[in-house]
Amino acid sequence: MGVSEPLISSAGVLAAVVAILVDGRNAVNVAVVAVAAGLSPTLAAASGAPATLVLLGAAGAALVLSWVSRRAARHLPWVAGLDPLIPAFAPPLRLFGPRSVRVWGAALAVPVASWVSFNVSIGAVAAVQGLLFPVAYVWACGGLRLLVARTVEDIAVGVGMVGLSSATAWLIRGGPDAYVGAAALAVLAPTSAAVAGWLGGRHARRPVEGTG
Amino acid sequence: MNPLAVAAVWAGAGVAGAAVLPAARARRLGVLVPFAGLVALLVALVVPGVPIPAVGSLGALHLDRTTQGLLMACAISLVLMLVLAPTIEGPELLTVGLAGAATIVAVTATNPVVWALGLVGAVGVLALRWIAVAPGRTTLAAGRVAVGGSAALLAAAPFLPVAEAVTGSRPVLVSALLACGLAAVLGLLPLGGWAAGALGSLRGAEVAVWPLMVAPAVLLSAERIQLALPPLGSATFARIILAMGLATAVWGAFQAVRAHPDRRYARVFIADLGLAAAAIGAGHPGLAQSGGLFLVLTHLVTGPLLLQKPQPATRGPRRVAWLLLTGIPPAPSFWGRFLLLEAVGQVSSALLVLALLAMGLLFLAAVLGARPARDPEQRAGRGEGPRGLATQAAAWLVVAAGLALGVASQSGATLIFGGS
Repeated sequence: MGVSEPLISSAGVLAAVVAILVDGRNAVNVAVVAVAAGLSPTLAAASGAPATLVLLGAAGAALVLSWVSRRAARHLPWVAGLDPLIPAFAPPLRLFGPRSVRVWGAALAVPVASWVSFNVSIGAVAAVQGLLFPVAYVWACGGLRLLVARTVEDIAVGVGMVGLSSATAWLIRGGPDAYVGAAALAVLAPTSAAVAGWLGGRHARRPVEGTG
Repeated sequence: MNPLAVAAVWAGAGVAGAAVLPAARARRLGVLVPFAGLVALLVALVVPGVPIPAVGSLGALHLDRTTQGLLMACAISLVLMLVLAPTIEGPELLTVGLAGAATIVAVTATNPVVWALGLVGAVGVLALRWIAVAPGRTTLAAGRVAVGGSAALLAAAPFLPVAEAVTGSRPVLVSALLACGLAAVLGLLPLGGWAAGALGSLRGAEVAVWPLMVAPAVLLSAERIQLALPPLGSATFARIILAMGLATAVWGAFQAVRAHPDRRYARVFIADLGLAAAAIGAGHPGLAQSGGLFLVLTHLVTGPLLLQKPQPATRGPRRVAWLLLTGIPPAPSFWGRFLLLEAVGQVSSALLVLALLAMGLLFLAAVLGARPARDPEQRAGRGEGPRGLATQAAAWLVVAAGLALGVASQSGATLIFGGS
């Protein structure tokens, strides 16, 4: 039974939309899991089901590392400095808020990803074309999330999205080192989850006012 | 010792230095972090050939003589930077170690994935540290733009190598991603506001690893990645990097003339990076590499002095260091800018005029920088005492090295970068 390309592309688009819009303390985890789930059908269709283990493994590692680093950081005393959820600066009031800007970015990324999918071939052994729409869309959304970032959490989400989409592209490319290279790229997702978890954990224990 | 072991020494020294030295109240020993990296580079295995990050396998790291020389010069410059720094807090040692390790992996990589990951790691560590030290628009921009630029390099990796793709969209897309990614990490216009902002607003020791290690290594990578592109891709890459580089040189030099004395050096550095990038786009790799390396070497000598806030003990050496940046013989900047001018001048006379304009403005900025300080606070005091005298001696040593480099330029370049 053949696969429905619009269906697997829709899964990637949905995942990218979730990842570009999600905010909050678990944003990196939600984005990484969504992107891994959304790109897995594309990867399974292009490179076979075992290839999806790279993405799903990266998502699982991100969840575990985020939890471990957050727990570990909570055992340390609170320090002043970087909270990943607090914007690094306060922008002036605008007609559109940060999430609206991301929605516009996600809409603009559709033609970009479409152009890449129709015009750019990929493949170390045999060049193929037309498979890259969900991958390019997730990458474009990740890049946009980076460019409009206001917090360290935004940057971590963007890096995770870019890492997973690049890993998928590397697997579709094929070649002798497809799995090792994809694993190296996918490591960005658990790394950014661990950093965000660590920084969040450091700030979870605020000093109690009026004591001491 | 292979390059991966060298990178491990950098990372290990950085982690150990940041964890142990502040607790032991021995922060000044932080100079040992880049020094340990320097020793590791000295004993590293050097092999012939040039690492081009496009075709190799994932584990293949390749340290050639030119790269070794550049990295050793960067390590010495970081040692001098920490020696001359008024204070060392500790966490910046972690930044030096981790960003240095990632840079070494990137510049010795022969695989595009490892190369791009190395650069993502280096700029990610820097951005995280800078945002932590001074949260604000300029430091967040480092996270947005520099990390975004290195993400563009990640996006290009699956499409490399493109040597067999002579026509079509693929070489054009890959070249555009590579050029824009490298321009963002190098701080070229219109993507370079983060670099000027961070260099101007953070303490010298905090930012030092970008101008004194990451940017020189990225410049060397930019020269080499062009060799992996087919003619169509190479032309696209050259056009983008030439336009961005020249615009950065002219604008950066103009801003350097106008800038506050504390921020002038950052603008001069970025303008010189722009000139070196423009020469890469001019299509004469020999001239671009020689000139770029020489200009980088000049900044590795002057950077440790001029990136710091003025101190009484370094007042005299700072003025001489500014003179080394005028571009007039026997300053070492003369040779670097001359070679870059020769490369750019072969493209068209209009570009030659723009490059000359940038160099004229850089001369003016350097002369303004060399003027005596008007601020009575800076004029007062001579930095006496053992610490002040040691700082003064180290500062004069840096200046003497710069002068020696200008007078014996060819011998100096051969000594540092090897005979090739």
